[in-house]
Amino acid sequence: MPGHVSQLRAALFVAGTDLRRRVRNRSFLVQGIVGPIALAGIISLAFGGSGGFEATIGVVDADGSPVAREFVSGVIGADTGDLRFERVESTEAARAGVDDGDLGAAVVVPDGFAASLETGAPDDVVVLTSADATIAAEVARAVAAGLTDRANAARLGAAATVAAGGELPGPDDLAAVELPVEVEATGTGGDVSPAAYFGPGMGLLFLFLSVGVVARDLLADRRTRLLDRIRAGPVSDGAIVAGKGLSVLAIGVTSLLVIWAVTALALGADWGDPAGVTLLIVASAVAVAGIAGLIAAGARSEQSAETLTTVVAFVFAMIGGAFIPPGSLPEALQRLSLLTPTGWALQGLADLSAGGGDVVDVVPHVVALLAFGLVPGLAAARLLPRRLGAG
Amino acid sequence: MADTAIDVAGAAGGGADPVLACRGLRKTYGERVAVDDVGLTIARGETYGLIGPNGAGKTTTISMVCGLLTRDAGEVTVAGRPMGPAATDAKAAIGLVPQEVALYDDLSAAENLTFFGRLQGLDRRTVAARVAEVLELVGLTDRAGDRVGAYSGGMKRRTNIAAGLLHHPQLLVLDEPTVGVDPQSRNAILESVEALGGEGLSVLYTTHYMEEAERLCDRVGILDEGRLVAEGTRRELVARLGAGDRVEVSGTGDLDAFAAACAALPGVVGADRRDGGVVVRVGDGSAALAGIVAAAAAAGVAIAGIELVEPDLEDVFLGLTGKALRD
Repeated sequence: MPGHVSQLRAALFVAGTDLRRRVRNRSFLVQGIVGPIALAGIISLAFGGSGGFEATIGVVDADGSPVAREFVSGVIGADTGDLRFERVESTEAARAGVDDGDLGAAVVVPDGFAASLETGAPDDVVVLTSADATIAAEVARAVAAGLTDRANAARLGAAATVAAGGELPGPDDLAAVELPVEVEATGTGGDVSPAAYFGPGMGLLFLFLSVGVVARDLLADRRTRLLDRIRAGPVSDGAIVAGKGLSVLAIGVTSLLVIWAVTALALGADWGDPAGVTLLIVASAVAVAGIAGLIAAGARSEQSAETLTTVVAFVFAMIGGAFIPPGSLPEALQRLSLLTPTGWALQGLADLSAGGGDVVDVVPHVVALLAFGLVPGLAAARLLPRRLGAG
Repeated sequence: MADTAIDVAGAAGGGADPVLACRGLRKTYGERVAVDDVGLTIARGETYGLIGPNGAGKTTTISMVCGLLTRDAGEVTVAGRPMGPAATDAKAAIGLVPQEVALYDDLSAAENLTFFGRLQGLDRRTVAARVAEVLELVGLTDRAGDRVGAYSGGMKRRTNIAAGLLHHPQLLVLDEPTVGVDPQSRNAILESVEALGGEGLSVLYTTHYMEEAERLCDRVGILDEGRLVAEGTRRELVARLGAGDRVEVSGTGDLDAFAAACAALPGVVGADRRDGGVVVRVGDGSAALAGIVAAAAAAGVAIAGIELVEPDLEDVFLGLTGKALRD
């Protein structure tokens, strides 16, 4: 009968109508799904595709000495994942391979290298690079530096032996010295793929922008007195606020779930333990909903709500690492990322994706995200009814 | 405020069981008093007009009546239930039609009405039936599925009214429903309100168009600078003001002599020259007509037109506040 609607049902009607409007005017599709996936895809490609950094580095033994043979076989046998080392027969072939793009870079042990170690002026190890493959070039330089360090260590040892009245070791003795060849990998942290990292990052950025529309609409509804029409019925202010909050929550969760599915199926991204990912997604949506509520409560006009939302979205995205992984930033900025829900969400997801963590590992992240949502959310629940016009 | 303000404390109306009863309503914003000591009652089936210029306090008053604003002082009961922002029982008895088109542009009329109907507690089946009924009432049945954003201004206004009727409210509150509406739609809206009043619905109608109040309202309250300065039927207000009729005569000849002759007639308060004629202020215009026509003949004035004008609410408002309603 008229006048007897439960406040929970009223909240659900408000949320349902809000969602219907988002779908109808396509703002959810554009801001919640297409935008973040497109941007995440572009950034993933920019960072080397969905499989992370890959390169092949050629190694040329133009010397043929025991020292050079030992070095080359050590490098070729190194287990370096997507970084491969390939033996190349000549310096010319290596040059051609780098120029053609078949090789990212090449390391050449020059002819007479071992013999030059016994002279006062040893030959340099040559590194062939291309301007198109800067990371591969850095790796090749590091490998060359490793060989040079090993040679210098051997020369130092020889000098010390001679000074002590001993005999100079021969090339075979030098080759027998065990110095490990190490290739240090640098990247976004573990084996997290760009799509698995930037997918949620862009999702969170667009989520803020998307719920900003809800905050703006709430203020528009007040201006056009549509809220008055609702509030003049048997509906409490709390039910209206709860309905809007539910709508934001549903938008957030759905958007991130779809981004998860699309990046996994289309880009091969592995977000990690599904239960942990789901928990982080829900907690992230709670955080965004709470912050959006506070923006709606604090904004004086639709324009100011939109501006505030955009500023908050991009600041959180920048500091939180949605564009640049925090591991690539100075330590101070890395710590700053934990002042944002974006930072907590992305670090939690990276832990799941790269570290193989599970639900327990992301509990601190979930708690932090819920705090980000509940603290401003509770403040908004107190302020919004007054802003809606009851004062 | 004018010295001629009528004390409304003892104004009649509302009967023993009014649908709306307000007393001593007061609302301030900082130092500014928006509404001060406003009281009114509306009986079942009565259409009450709250008239006043923009900024007089009409919207603030109905916001308190509808429980949208907390009041600084005063009482409101709707259908016998105390009203306030959290008074859901009292709110269920009210249908509010805001001045603005309070609808979602990206939903159809049927979807909008279904949403507001469900919020009023109507079940799915009832709301479907009521949506069809109110759309029929406002003549939009064949456009029910169209997005409201694609409607003309008049169609939006009619849907706006329909949304206030869904749950069979006991009191329909219309806040300046014809502002910015074309004449045809305006007439359709006025006819709808007349019909609703005829069906026994109580209506609180705010406007600054006197002709609408005169056409629709059983009683009117005149609001000026937040205070209800007079209340009653149109005839009561005119009588209390003491204003008489006007006989407006246009013609050619010695109009000055004609005006002087009219002024000397019994029952005439005064006669003034106007462009191409004379305006005679008289207590009872009908009784004075014969004398005025004779005076014209005696003064050698050829009458081109003569019109008897009874005082209207515009005159009452001018008399009470010293300013025109649309100032």
